[in-house]
Amino acid sequence: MIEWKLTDTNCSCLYMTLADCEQLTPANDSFDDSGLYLMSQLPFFDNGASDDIHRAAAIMLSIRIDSEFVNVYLATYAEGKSKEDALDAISAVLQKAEKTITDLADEVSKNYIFLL
Amino acid sequence: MTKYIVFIIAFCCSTVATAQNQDPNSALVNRISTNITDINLSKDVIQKTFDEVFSNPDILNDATAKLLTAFKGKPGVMKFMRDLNFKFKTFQTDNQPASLGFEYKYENSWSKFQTVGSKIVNQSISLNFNGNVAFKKSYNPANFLESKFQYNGTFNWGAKSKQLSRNDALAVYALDRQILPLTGTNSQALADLLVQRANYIHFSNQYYIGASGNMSYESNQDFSKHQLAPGVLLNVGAKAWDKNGTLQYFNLLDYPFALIRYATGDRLYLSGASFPSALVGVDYVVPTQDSVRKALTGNLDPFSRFRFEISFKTKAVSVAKQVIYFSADYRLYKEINASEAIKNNGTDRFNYFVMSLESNNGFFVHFTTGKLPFDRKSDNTYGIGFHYDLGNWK
Repeated sequence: MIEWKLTDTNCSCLYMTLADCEQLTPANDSFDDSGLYLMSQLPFFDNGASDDIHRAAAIMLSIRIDSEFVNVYLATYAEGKSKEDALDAISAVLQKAEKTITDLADEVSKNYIFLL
Repeated sequence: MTKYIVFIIAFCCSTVATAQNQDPNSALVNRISTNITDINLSKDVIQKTFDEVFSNPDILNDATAKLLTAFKGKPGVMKFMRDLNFKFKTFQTDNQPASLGFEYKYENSWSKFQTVGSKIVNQSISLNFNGNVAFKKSYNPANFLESKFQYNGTFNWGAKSKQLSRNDALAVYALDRQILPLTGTNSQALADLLVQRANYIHFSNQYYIGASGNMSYESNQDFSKHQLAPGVLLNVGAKAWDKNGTLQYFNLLDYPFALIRYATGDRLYLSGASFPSALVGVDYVVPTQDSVRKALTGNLDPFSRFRFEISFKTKAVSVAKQVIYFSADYRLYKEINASEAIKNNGTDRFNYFVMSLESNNGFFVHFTTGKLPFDRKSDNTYGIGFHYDLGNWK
């Protein structure tokens, strides 16, 4: 399990990508605090909605995150991993209300290699 | 037997208290632990302690969280237990006393993404169980248990971006290094850096359409009513990632919140991420036991049921360092061509609406009205409190 820290590119790229996706507000959500945020606390996750809605939201967001990693941060997929594997892993975490952003960063670290 | 149960609960609670010094129930836990070590304890004291513990869902949730944490990384049944989202809660309706019970939710899915041309296709098979169970069933207002097996196929378009050059990507990394230490400060320097960075971030809008086939088994908590409900669902969604596009202006539900955000010091914008999601479907319901329906119609013939749901969540306002989100979800279940007897009894149509304000520190206010199929009452319920995480014991 990775540690949520500023010097880890998996964490910093994930934070900024979630901010671009309007899931975090940089002026209010400090980087340090956001590692412990639950999926259920993020705007894409409506706690009152059915699982069908949660799954759709998670799939859409996972595709958007992957697109930013690859096209903005020029990330490549980790050895033995493909785009489909990464999307599977990311969307699985996004669908679980009790998972944290650090849990998500952990999956990111297993599936992507960033430029820096 | 009671003594053993008290001991197990107290053991879990005391372990939890040791692991987390700030546990709000620590005083109670210490008292229970002290009592339990006294072998000459009177039966009345045991009973009193038991009642005290057993009426407090928070302390039971703490103990459960600790137990589930121990299952992390374990295979088989242990993995099933870990994936089970189990939460004690109190139920209260009208003037009835509060009753302890629990909410459970389990989901396991097998999912596969594929890239097909410009689309990303996802296929999944999932197994879901969820429901609310009160230890005194007559006090359960949300008396609906659902077990569902589902196949889902989705098609996604968009969320595309032109790939940055290496130099531009390095510029984004450099900006990130300046931005991240400033997060949470609401400073002008942070705002300026975010504007610079936004020049590199351009994405197309995103669209989603999904179709599902499912087999559900629905019941109340004592299984005196139950039915099978195979059905099909179609759900759609969109995200307006293109800040120069027109799609964002169709997020009609976000207009009032854009004004609230602006009035409270935020910039004026419509959220591209908060587009409402919706689903429609038809279920073919096969009642297998329902004494009320049988009395009304004289039979338990299958019937068709229309289903609709719309969900919306957006940023409402920023207060100090907290972001407060507004969310709403509306569900409708409507029997198609219901008999007059069913209509007159009011069981042809079920409306359910939940609305919440939640902040990132866990504070929430929520309101629910209406009922789901098999729910006992159609009540207006208000709630205020704090969510805290069960699954993050490190």
